[in-house]
Amino acid sequence: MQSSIDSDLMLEREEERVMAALAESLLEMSESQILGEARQEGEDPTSVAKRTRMLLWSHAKVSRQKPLFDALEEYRRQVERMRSRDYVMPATPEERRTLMTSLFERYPQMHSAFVTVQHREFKSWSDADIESFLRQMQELGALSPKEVSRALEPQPEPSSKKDNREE
Amino acid sequence: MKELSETSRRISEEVAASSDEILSAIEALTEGELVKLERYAKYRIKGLGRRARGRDHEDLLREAITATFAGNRRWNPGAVRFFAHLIGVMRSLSSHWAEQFDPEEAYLESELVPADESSESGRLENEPSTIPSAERQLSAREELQQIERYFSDDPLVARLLGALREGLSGPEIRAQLGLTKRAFETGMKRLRRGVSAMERDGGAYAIQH
Repeated sequence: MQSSIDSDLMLEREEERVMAALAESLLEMSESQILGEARQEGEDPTSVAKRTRMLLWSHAKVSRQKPLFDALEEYRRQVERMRSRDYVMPATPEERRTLMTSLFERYPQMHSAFVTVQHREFKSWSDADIESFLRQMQELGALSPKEVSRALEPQPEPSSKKDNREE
Repeated sequence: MKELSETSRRISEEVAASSDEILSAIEALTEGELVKLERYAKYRIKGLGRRARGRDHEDLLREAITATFAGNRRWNPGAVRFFAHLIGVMRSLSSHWAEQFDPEEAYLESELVPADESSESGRLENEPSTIPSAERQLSAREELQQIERYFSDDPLVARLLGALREGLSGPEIRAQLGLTKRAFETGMKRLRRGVSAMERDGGAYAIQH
């Protein structure tokens, strides 16, 4: 069995040498020689050339757009991942707005770092904008689930207020 | 031939052709160059035999373009013509495919059953596989035998074929067989035509000849 494999391998190598020599011999031919030879063999060189150019061209176009397709695919994957991920999120729009307000109060730099100029006045933000913003903050690691939970805990009332009420 | 060897994998991004330059270069290929590219790819794939693993010459051409765009086989337009670049990439890719092939793994038990096996199981196992190619692929042995038969009454090509199988280069063959450059080229042309005829007729030429 091994000798049969060895013998086949040897013949494959011999065939490869012959075909490689034939391939390389084409490179020595002039333009008119190769076109003439193709015609003699019953081929239409114009249609062969057209077919080959089309194949190269169409694949080049696909290859050129590949980075774009890859980036689009990656974007879709990220969006899908964000959609399917469980974010810790306050239940109501009011609570979410409160959470965002408290975040901006506690971390004023977050406001300037993440909010674009046209959206600086966050009172004009829709509920969907706020939810999306909170998701993105968690996605970026700028807002941990622990922080969200802490922000949602009832805050102890200031002592001065307490004193006033007691009065 | 010098310019072919200048196709390098280590071409910096700065000197590599842009995608627009590559597209323009495809447009600029001459009719003869395009015919050569197609034939070159066919011979290379034919030389791989079963090691092509079902790939055809169009796959080799496509892969050469993909590699050029992907950056692992960049083209330096200042150093080499696009035609020569594609030839270099196809030569390198086909050699790589040949090296990657593991004969131990690829051999099926059915391939080791003698062709004249008369048992029922033998006949079934000798059915050609549809995996490597839509058409049945001749083994290297059968292929070489057919070429030999075709040129049995052409002593020049028969001797040329023997020398090529041994792996001799063009100049070595000319020196060993005492051939002029013209005689060598004539022999190579007849060999190419024979192999092309074999391709067209699917091997039937061997009987007609």
